[in-house]
Amino acid sequence: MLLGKEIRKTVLSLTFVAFIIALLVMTISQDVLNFSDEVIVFPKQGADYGIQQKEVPELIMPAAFSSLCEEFAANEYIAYPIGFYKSVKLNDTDREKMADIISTLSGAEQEDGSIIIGKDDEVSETKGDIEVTLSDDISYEEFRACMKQADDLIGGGSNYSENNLLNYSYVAVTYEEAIENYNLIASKDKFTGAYARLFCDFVGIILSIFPVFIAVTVCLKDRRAKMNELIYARKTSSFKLILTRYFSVIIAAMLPTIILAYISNISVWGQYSGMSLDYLAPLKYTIGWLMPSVMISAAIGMFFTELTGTPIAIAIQGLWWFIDINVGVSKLRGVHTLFELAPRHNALRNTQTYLDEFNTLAANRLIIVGAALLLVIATVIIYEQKRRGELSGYETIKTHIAGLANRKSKSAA
Amino acid sequence: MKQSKHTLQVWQIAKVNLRHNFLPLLLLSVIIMMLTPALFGITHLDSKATAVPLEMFLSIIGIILLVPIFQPEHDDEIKDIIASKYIDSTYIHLIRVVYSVVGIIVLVLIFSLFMLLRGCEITMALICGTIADAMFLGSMGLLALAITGNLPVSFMVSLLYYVINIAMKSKLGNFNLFAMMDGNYKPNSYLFVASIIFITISVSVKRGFAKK
Repeated sequence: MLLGKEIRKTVLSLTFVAFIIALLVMTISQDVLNFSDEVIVFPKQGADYGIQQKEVPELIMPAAFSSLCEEFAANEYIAYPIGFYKSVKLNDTDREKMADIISTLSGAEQEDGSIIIGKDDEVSETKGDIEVTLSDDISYEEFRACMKQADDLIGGGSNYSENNLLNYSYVAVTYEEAIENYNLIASKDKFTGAYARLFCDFVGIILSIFPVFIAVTVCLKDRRAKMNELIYARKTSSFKLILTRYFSVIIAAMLPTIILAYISNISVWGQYSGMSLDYLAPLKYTIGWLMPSVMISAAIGMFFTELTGTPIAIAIQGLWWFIDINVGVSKLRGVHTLFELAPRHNALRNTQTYLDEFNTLAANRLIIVGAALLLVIATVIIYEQKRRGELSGYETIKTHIAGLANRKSKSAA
Repeated sequence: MKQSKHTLQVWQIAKVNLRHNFLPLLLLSVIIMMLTPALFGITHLDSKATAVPLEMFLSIIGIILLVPIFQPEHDDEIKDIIASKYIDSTYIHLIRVVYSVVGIIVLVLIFSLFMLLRGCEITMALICGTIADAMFLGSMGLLALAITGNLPVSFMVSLLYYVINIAMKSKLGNFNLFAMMDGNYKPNSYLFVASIIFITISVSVKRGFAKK
């Protein structure tokens, strides 16, 4: 009964309308509402199957080494430690350590941060080109260990990090691999899973920020309508009230998402007649992949709004979202981390990566759900304290500041 | 004599508003500004690379400083107090617009100077373009606030436009917020003019509502 009322209140708000518009704009602009042009067909022999990242030491080693030498010569290393561009310059001590690494890899001697080639031919790191070549005696394992050291010296996220080394190794997909990929999509994703995943990839960007607006609106509504005291006096427990509001936000955000996920997925069902499809894939993916993001976004919205009585939650969630989507750009192919807000998998066919990364993704989603539930419990406690008159949030801080200012002006007088 | 009384009045209104409404927003903007070099390397960048932190990070300041201009009147008590004064509320709104825009300009200038000292290629076009970006994003939300009276929705409008720019910037033509990083400075004049129009409409709409 109460849940129905809260859902009605949420859905009939202007914030919800804006949320729906945001969802539609995102899905339509990114072409994930209609997949009918993107049918996954059995590979034909002799066709172009695209390229893929593959760990080929023969490609990675010379290319990464050459890049390291160039950056060493200029003493300017490009890195993306948290997803954003950074240009790193090493101090003298670290430059010497880097010279040591190049020396190990090439067999050339190093002295005071300079690489020495032959007897008289010293090349300073400031002069530009270093004409040293990778030693044939270096194994791939040794090479990776050296690259890790180099990455650590740069501060992480450089071209030599474990993940980024793969950027030096793009190879053409063979016919056999194309068939293997197709079979994987047919057997594991049952086709629909692949489309649902790509839908989640884009929609996650919206769902990890916009529910905070709905939650903030719901919490500020009582305050604006000056209904707080009236609600505080009601019999309904704080636990029931906050949980009902929280779930009304979740349901309001998830229902249109599930409908859109099905609209998007149904667009390709007709293309796979006679094949085994997973008709529940849109539901499974939206709940497993997207709902944790909605939960944390709404929980942050409710927690900080109840705590401060201001819309500061928008700034807090906005900052996390902003950093996360930019960091996510480096993980578009479907690599996951434990604390990401919006998991990315910007490919229709990359099923093997999804399977490889599944455990990390599942752990991440569980952590996010756990954090969201903890924040909801904390919101209940804060609400209960306010109800008892023991906490008044931002008003108390404002009163204290005003009191201090008054005291100051009185003493000045 | 009359003019000095008028100046004093403007100063008094600005002072009260700056202290009570603008200071927390300015603080938040400064935090965003100070976070930028921590997130993005800003050393020895050419003009295209310099445009990235300016367009993607600094422009957000516009949302923070401009969108909540009409927010104080959402508190009925403050609204009643303002209505009881003989000074037109439009006058107060315009004062808030002016100091918010000045705030944007000052913060962009400070950050640009910082980038210049770090060896980045800073031009006047980049500085003006960033101010235009910030004003456009902010004025869009301000217009939404004037029409809907809903602060979260207003922030959503500005943020949605920001997301659209990330997702489909090439399709937005002269209203592309992130054109300077591709070396295109043409959209910024459109964005600036549009922001002035949005601010004017917002203040007029608010004036219309106040008279009702």
